[in-house]
Amino acid sequence: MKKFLSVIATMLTLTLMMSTVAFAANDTDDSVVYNGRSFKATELSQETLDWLEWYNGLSDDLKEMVSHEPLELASPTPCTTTTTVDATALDIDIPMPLETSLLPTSGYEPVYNPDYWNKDENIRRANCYAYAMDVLKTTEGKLQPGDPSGKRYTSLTKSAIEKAVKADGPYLGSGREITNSSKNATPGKNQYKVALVIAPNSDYHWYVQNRDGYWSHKQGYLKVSNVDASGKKITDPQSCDRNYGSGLNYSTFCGYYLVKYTNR
Amino acid sequence: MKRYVSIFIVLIVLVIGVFFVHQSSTSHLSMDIVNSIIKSKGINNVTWEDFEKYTYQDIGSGNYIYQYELPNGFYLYLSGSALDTPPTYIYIVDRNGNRIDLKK
Repeated sequence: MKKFLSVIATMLTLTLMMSTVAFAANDTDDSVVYNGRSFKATELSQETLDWLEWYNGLSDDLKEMVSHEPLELASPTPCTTTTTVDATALDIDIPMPLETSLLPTSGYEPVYNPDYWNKDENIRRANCYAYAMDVLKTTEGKLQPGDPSGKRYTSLTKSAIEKAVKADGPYLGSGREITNSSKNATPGKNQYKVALVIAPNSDYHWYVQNRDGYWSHKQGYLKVSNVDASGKKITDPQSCDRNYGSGLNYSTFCGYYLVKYTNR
Repeated sequence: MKRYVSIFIVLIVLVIGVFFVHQSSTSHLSMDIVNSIIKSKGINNVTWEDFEKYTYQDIGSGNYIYQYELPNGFYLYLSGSALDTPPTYIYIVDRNGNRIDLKK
């Protein structure tokens, strides 16, 4: 038995020694390789080293897709002529509005009522689309353009979403009619204005104009809000901050639309 | 001697237990796991379920966009209009906001 114990103890000691040697070897080896070129790790920033570790972990296919590289690893390039502009060329007086102007309303807009939409039983039954159409789903989930009419949109484009939404109209709540509009158009009886934006290759989003003239929105299952990505009250969805970071930037403004309650 | 053997066995069990507890508490999604899932299934066959055991945040508005944290400030995203069909878009965003599309 003693023999058995000493064999195990020896094996454990050997394993520990080997791992220590391996770590030591890693510590002393201070060169790193990127695209066939060797760099001294001590001369690179921690940020670049982290990036390199991530990059070297990618498959070759993925590496080809990487469009960014840290400056410290960039290939030396010959000096070229730099295009410059006079700083004074940008010295333009930009007139600022003296007071906030709201876009025209009809008086038929939904009232901004976050308490209703944020209730536990409602919050996961409406995404931005359902909120914009002033409907709740009967079950939890995100309502998609085309679902109510039976043909979901298939591409994340203005035309595809617009087509699907217009087809949904009669099947939304007690009935809606969706038509194109413009920023300064005044909605008519039983109408209110909404706006569609797209984060390319990621997501779409809707804003609704409320009776007070400000705009509100509901991001997925999150709470209803009337402020933009910068925390400012939304007076116009076209000009508000729609960049939520982490690659989620609703940078494409698709347009304004009128939603009409057809059975009121 | 029997006592030594039992103590030894208890110690071994404890060491193994601690090892596994440590493993489970640090089993975050890593780039290696992402690569391995994509390689084994093929990018077009990756489903939402493949990543369901990892912590995510749904940041999508109209669509579902599941955001998974990766080491060193990177994030993996799965995006699509339904959870019962494969994600339409799969991409990684680095700490500088650069996006690498894996499925588009």
